[in-house]
Amino acid sequence: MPVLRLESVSLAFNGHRAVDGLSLRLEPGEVYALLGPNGAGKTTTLNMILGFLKPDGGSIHVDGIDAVADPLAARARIAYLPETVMLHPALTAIENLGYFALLAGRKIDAATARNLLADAGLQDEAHDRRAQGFSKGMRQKVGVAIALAKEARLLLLDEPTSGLDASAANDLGQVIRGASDRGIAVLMATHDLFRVKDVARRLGILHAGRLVDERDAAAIGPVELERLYLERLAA
Amino acid sequence: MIGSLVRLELTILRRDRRAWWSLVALAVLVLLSFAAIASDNARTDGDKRAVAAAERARWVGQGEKDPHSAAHYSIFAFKPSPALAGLDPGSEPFVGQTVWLEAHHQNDMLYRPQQNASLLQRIGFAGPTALITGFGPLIVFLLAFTLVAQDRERGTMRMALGAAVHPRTIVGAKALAVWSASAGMLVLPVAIISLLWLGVGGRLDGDVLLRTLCWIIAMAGYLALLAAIGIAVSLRMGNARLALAGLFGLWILFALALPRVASGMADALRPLPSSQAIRQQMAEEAPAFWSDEQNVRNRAALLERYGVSRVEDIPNPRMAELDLMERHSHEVFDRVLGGFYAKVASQDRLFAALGFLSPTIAAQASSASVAGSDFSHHRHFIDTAERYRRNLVNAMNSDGMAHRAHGTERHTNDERLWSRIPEFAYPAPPLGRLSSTALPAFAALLLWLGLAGLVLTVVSGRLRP
Repeated sequence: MPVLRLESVSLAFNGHRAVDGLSLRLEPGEVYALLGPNGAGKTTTLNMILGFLKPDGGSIHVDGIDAVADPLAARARIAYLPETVMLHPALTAIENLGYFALLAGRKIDAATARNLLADAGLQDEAHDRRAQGFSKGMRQKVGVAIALAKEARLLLLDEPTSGLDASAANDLGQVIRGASDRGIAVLMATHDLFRVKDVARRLGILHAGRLVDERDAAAIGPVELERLYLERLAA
Repeated sequence: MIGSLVRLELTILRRDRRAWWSLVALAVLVLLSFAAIASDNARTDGDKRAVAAAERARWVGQGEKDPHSAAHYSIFAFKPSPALAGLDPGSEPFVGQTVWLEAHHQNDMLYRPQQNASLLQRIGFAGPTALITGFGPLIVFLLAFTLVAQDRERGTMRMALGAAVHPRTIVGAKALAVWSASAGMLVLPVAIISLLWLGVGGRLDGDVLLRTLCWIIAMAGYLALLAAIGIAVSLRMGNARLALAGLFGLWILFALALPRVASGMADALRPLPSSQAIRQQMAEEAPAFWSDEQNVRNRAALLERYGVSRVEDIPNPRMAELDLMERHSHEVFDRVLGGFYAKVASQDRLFAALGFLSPTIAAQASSASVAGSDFSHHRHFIDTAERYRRNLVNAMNSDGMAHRAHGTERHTNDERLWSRIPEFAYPAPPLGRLSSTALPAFAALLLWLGLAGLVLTVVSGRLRP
């Protein structure tokens, strides 16, 4: 059974089609990068999967659950990392993890929290530090730990590499691959063609709300990907 | 789960220095204010007891004299401070603490604490209730702003809403955190200290416990509805700056503007005559202004009461006439002063009912009522003292009337009669007897609580990231 299945999903705002007949399918452990410029409909798609927005047409299923009819049940299987993972600055990494895990219905002890943060790549000395001084990369690692704590089946990442330096982006790639190895399906919405190519298994190009192309990441080189991307956007 | 969430929200609040230290500062002020008022009341009550004992000794030791002269010699009655005046002094600083009980006169009460207070002491009259109802909204709104508006501005709320819980759970945990922090810091400590203080002073009984419980419920309910309003406004406003401005405006409206508007409305709708006008009216109806026809009617009434046809046949005609004048004055006092007090009580009830305009009014009115420091409790003391005065004067006059004395003859009595008059003791009324002001105030508070809860439920149900 696919972890995520979108069938002809559409949504219009004030007559403008933000997403137009989008169909997607993610299997367990699959990493999918949804590429497109600003306004292509990437974040709108994520918001519909999360149940924050209701599609005008089509269907969305997460782990077999109708996400439109029962968004809360679907969300229980999703971990969502927005472009900037915002943590409570007054809480430590462990406390933040405990807070968001609680919201996901999981109560975790300190030892488990430390293991999850370590798995997500956060250095030990940062576990008990308040999040107010965390870099974007550190916040993302806590976000990934939250996803792991939640035992999510689907990880949604919105512009995950935006603002990350090379080292942090590399760390993120490792974390995503780790999640994939655990059987978690990952859907990334991004306009960063090159960094995600190394991580994603499949790439989809979204333009004006429509999926205009879809490729295996391994079958396309970076130069070819850029040419294809620009062609599709110009069409 | 909700308990753990509330604990984490409380941790966030505790670590936000601005919000938490503002709450701590107000909590300290509340405790200091209680300590100042309670210790001052204890000292004053001690003075009152000492002076009352000296007064009793003076009464009993006044020597042999005409009983009616003794009724004029008379005695002071002292009002003990209400047990919960440390929590809410209410009208206590502005009403007299003692009354001179004498024949023919229902005197005004004397020695208002506010009159004798220095400027600094007058500021100190702002008791725990005034601080909680006046500044509580500001602090609660700041706590709500910290947990919600800043959360939204930062994006943490969006992260939280991405979890698999209904937004109402997240919002409910925040509301509970704000409420438990504010009630736990502002209400519970001072209520517990008040109970301990009263226990040490030997004033703790079932009624005091019930009144304290009602005070806790009123204040905690007030803070709960403020928490709900603060969070609902923080959720609905477009951004944190707007939310802060909106909440600040609400504080001014609830705690500063509307109570003054309500006070003005109560004055305009239920105007009170001046005390000078009341005194004038009573003087005009005094026996000194009786007409000759009235004197003739009075004499006929006396002859009829004694079943005789000549004044000479009444055992003590002077005393009988004084007794008749005394009883006439009772009717005047009941009608004129009683009517005035009824108007004051009616104005108080209207003010309490205007709690439907602002929860601060409802909280203030219900607090003073349960603390026993509102006008209805003061009126209870006035009536008790007046009953004592009438019994004392009647006992003196009765003794005179029972003994024959004509012309320049005077019947006298001594300590044997004076000591038969019981000492003045004032038992404060139980809570249930004086609830006419508390009921509309509590009803308004309950309505506000329901309304705030409903608004918060609707707003959190519509919450979108």
